[in-house]
Amino acid sequence: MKLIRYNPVGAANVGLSPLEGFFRQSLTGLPAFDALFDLPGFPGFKSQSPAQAAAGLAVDVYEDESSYYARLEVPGVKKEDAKIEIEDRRLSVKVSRKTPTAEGEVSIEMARTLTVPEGIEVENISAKLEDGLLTVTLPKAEARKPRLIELN
Amino acid sequence: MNNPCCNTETAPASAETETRPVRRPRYQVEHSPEAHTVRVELPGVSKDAVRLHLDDGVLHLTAPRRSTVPENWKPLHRELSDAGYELRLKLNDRVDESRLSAGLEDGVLTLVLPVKETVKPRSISLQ
Repeated sequence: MKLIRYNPVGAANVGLSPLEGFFRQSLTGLPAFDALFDLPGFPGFKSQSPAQAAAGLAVDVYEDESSYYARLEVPGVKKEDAKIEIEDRRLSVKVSRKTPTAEGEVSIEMARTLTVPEGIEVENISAKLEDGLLTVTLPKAEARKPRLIELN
Repeated sequence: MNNPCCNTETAPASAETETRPVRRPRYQVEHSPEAHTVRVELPGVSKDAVRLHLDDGVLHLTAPRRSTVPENWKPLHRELSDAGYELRLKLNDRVDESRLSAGLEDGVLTLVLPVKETVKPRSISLQ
């Protein structure tokens, strides 16, 4: 049983802006900065493959008895620049990261879409942003929670 | 290599890096005549976990990633790494080491490396 399906084309939902193209390049391959800062063979650099980053925001999914939890890394994103929506069991997280530069503010859009299991209390979904980590809590409906059945 | 501000150092694996998995964080650098601004992505790191240490022109950044997942959470799908962050930047001699500043906000560490007054471009007026 697979409860949550990874949607590898999630990032495509946003539409590729020139800035996103920039983002991928600068944050995955880092060609420009590679040339400036990287010494060949530095260990640990390949911690995130370009393919992984290009697929959108990376996500961990957890569950406990009461809820499912989706956790995404969104460094540099402010609370007001994160948008979380759910429609037909599709949870979409869209964030925009704004960085001040000498040429003005640069905004980078990132997104991820997940299909969530049935039996979520949609109206009670909540989210928290802390230290660049976004945690979305998807409470399980009563019927899905484990419960003790009392013998008569 | 010609570096406007800094260079990552290849560091010999210390005892610390062998026992705990670390990775190099993503970072971006912006240059201006006054300063180099380095923005390092450290999602999942709280302010008190960041260690910055300057030694012989090399800025060492270490930031263990604290585990924020309660024990009763069962992982169903994992893409994020639990490894801490480690970055070494070799500052070039244009950087005024006495005026470094750093701030952590929303999982991004901003390091400001001011350029020494003596190497700033300036115009010389004719007498």
